[in-house]
Amino acid sequence: MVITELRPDDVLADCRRALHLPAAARTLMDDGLLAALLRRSAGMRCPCSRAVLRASLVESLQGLSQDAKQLAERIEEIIDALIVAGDLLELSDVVTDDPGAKGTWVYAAPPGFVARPSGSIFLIGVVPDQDTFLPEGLASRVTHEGFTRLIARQPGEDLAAELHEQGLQELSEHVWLRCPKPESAQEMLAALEYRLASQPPSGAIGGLQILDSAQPVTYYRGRWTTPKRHSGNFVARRPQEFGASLWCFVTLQDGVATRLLDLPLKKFRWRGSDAAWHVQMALDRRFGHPQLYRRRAADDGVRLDFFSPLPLWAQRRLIIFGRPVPPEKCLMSYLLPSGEAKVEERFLQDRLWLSVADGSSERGAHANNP
Amino acid sequence: MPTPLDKWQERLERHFESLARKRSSSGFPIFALEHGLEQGELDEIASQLRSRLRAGLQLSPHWLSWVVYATERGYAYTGDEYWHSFEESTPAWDFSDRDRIKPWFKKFQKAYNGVEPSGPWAEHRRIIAWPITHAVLPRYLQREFARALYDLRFRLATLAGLEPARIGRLLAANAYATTRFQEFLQQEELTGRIVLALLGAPSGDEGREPIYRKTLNRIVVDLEKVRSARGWLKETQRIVSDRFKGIGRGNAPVQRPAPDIRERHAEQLPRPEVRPNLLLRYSGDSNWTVVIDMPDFRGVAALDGEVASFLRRTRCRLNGAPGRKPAGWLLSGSRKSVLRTWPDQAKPLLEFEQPNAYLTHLLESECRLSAGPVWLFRIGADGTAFEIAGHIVRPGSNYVVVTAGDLPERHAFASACTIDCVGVKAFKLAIPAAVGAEDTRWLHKLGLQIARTIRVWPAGMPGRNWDGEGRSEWLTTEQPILALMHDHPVEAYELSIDRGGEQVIKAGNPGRPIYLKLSRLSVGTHLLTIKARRTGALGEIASAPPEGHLQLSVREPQPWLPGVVSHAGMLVRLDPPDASLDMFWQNKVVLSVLGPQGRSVSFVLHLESRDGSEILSENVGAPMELPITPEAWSKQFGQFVKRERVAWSLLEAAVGRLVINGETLGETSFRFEHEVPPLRWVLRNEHGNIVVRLVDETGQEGEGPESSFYDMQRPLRRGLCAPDACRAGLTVQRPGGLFFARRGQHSDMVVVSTGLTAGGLQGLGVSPICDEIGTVALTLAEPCRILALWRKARLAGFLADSRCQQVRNSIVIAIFERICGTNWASAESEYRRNPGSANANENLKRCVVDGRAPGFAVVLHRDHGKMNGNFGQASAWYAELARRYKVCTDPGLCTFALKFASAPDRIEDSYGANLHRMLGQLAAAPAILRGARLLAALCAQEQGPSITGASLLPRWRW
Repeated sequence: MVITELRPDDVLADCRRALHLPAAARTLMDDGLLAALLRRSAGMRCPCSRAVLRASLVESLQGLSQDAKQLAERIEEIIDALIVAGDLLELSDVVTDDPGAKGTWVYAAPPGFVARPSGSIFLIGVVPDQDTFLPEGLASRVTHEGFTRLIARQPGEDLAAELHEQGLQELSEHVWLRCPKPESAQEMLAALEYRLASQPPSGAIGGLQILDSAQPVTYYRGRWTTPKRHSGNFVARRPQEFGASLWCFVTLQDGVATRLLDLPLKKFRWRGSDAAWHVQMALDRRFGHPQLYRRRAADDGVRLDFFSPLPLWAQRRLIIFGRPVPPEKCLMSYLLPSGEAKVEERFLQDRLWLSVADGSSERGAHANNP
Repeated sequence: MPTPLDKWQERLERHFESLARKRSSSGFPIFALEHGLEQGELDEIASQLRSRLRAGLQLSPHWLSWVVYATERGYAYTGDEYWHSFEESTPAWDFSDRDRIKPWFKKFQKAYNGVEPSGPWAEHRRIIAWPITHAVLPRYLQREFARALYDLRFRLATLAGLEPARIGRLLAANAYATTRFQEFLQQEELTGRIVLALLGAPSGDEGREPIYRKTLNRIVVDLEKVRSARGWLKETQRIVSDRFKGIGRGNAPVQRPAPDIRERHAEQLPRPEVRPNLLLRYSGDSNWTVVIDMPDFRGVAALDGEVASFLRRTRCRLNGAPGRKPAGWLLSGSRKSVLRTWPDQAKPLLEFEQPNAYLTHLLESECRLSAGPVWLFRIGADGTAFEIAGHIVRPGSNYVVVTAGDLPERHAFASACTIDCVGVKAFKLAIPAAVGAEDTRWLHKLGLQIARTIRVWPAGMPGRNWDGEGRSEWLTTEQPILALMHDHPVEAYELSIDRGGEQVIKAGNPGRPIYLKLSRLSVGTHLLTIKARRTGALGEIASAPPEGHLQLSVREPQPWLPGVVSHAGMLVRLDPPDASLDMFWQNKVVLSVLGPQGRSVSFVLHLESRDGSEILSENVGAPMELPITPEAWSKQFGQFVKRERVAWSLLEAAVGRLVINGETLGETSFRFEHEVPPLRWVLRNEHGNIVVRLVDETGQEGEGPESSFYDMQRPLRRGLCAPDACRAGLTVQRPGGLFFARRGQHSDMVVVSTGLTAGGLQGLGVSPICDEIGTVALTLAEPCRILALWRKARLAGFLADSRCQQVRNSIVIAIFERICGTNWASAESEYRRNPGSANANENLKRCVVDGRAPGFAVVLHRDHGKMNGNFGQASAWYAELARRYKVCTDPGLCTFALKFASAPDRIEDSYGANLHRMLGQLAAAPAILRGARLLAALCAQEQGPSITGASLLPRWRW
């Protein structure tokens, strides 16, 4: 038995090798490494809560990161990113053998893929004991773009057929891009407020945090607040004894909750956060200050910057047609090919009721218009 | 000028003699496929053999050429019919010529130490087992073989020795594959050798190779032509190549019988880690639920084929959980269960319904609750608390303590909580950052220790099953990296694995972890011992233990099997897990799908012929919303199979694959095969006509099989079928009927339904006439036997299910009418039509004893609910009532009457040769049967509509 002492950087470099990641360009602990470590942890622990998944990584990376608090936040963000990318599934109301086990849990998605319009393949899924579920010939072609894994198609190759042969499940564009039925912001709010009004009185709720619609839409974190003398309907989160706070839609009277509706509603297939963010977009549209996105021309396409989180089903479109890029003075950014940008912007405006921010470049949106 | 056949025969004799001589010291048997001929040479030999056969010349002088010829057909065998394709490619081959094949192969076996077929598959196919076994790896098994190797690549790469039998056993134990492939894998020695050869294990000297090099190359080339097999083979070769480099073949490859399975279990099988994890889940209001998380038993199944089969087929029970878990549960992706009662510490945490020596032994020693009477659980951020087997508490953490004894005296650390589990109590423990001496003593009294001040944790890669204090699980493919950190001065760490040599690593400053990488560990449980070499300052914390241990459980990685959802949010249950296609088609498979509400799941059924071509690929109804109950599935599938096009598709299908698609939740598929017994009816749709043909591969000598036909319109009238006609194929006349065949211990029966019986909707059904009962031609027992055939038969064709049920109902009604009389039959008929009618009920009661002892029928009618309980008690009640009302004084006859009244189609199974005598007694005292029928009719009516509703048969369990 040989025991070798390693330096912290050696530990991370060893992890990268074991996870088949390329040598790091700038920092050893990049998004790709964290995503791969989270996939591995999910393969071991899922189904489990987000907290367990996060804690497992925080512990194993203890001492390897300079800032433990920031590391926990990054891990939380990458869990979200992996849910958006389809590697993890956050499911509510799962009926299992044990009726008492209902709740929101994170599951590891089975291996699959989505074919992108460009012909490349977007890999998804996690298996328990292996970091890759592909044979060496295909595994060596996997490239990592942040938290996503891609395989580029070679000329004349039927990559989808080959992956089918390996037992991977193809998710059609129809399945991958599934989204809630089209409706106006007013229609959505009317239905939801009707349900909220029919809830029994909730009484005061301790620890409630609300998204204040009166605050500027361009600073998401700044919109969160403890209710003071607020009145009206708000998107909110309420704490529970264990686990992450629950998303809800709440009526406040002078800062005191009077009615409460938990999100997501029963049989809604997306997460509570997806439902809540969409409701907030509707509220912002109703109040006449819709949420904004910024369009900027880039060398290789059009860059769209967002100031509030987007529901999972909207982000999936942007991942498939474009790719995530590091945000600059915003919450998240995607780079889209010029040819795709116009359609996607139309989608953002029609389905999320977003408006383009003043000062945005016009080039991208009208790239197809001579 | 072609080479004469005599010369070919001589060349083959020389070749096999030489091969046998070279291989004589190795013990490897010889396969006829190792003939060493090129394809052109094979064609030339085949052509000359056919010419001789056509000319009626003697065949035996060229017996070896015939062995090679037959083996080549075995190599091309599709898994369906050997003789059919043999005869098609060999004109003038007569049915009686089949008997020549086996002696030739036996001659080959004796002359050259040829391989001899063995196992149940070969025993039931006495002739064709020879050419197929001598084909080494027939083409139809090649894809499955490559896939099996690919799935096992990691395990193959870490085998301690390269003994063929051991490799073969590994393969057999892990074959999640077709029945036939599993049967093929029973030849463990042979399959192990093929694996070694295919994966490039060092070949021995000439003649010591397990398979002739040229033959092996041929198999590899063919394998590489099979869809995906090339990639799987190459990937497996890549993974195992390091293992095979520079390693000998282990034990000398001397052929020997496989060791006795009991001996193997006792001495050779390792004992993998099967300790379950116990956890508590917070369920609100300070209450906790106990959950057991069983380990994946696929590692156990991989040890031995018999164990794997046992795990797939046997239900189990958890110590402390209500109910039983379905067969295969321990191999599934979700193995958590709530424990409502704290496990009995005297028993293992798991027990199987049937005994298995190896598993019983394993569970007795490895699958137990940790020692009590106190169990410690650390509370995680999400309200799940994991057991800390080491009973170590850490400052700043929260715990639940479960105790079988009384709760401790009040203490500042403890607060009340409840646990939803009979037999234990619980309290919450909050350990503050600072723990005083008094508190430490209090914790010690509870059996708990304050954590050491040296912490260890898996670094970089998160730990598998890491309990936070000292237990973790690793794979043989991993090199564990651990971090060590101390909060007080330590000079160095002394480390050893499994009490082996010590290695000293210099410790860093307090609060700064050091990182250690271990070399790869072998399968099993290892103990890492860490001793702190202290500096002088360490004396201040004298309570810190001088050494700590870390338990590292190491196992092989489990391969990912496509189509098997493991950790996703969709849970599919199928019972039984190994149902045949016929069973599945008859809706006798219980299927349920659990998952998140609001999601939909679609079902697609693919039917394939034996050669892999697709016959049908259709959605089974519309997508269904989760969760899907067995009843909902049964209803949807029942409607699906009634569709005419779907029903016809089954005729030529060999394999069915049900794909359950939960979109992002994953995809699960189940494979159902037509059973391929050695004696079987096969069906074909020829231009709208259904042709049924008898395939006989039993290889039995003497008279041909006994075959008969029962028309749906005259279901008790037996029509004999000539063996030659059955072999050639019979066109089924509408509306079809039951085909039955038997030879020795083998039998097969199929109900074929075709065409309409009349115009309009009426033509969909049949009108069976059963007036033969009780005539000279048919004794009373015979209709029961025929009725059992109609029940057991496979179903094929449009409306086969409903028509077969009509036939069965007609026979049942006719049997009861014959014994109970026409008055009774009329009364039952009236009751069937209108069970709620007071008149119909009165009439039934009146007819039981023809006006005598009316009280008997009144009591039966009033108390008929007793029949739904324990059958033994109900039977005693009925016999006592019959005695009291002087209807019958024979309790045995009363019991028989009840059984017969409820299940005349199963009565033969229980009474066998006595059936005739018992029916005679019943016919002499029909009132006791009428009383039983009254009970049966009332109970059947209350049990609701079922397929037996029309004949009023209740579901009594006896």
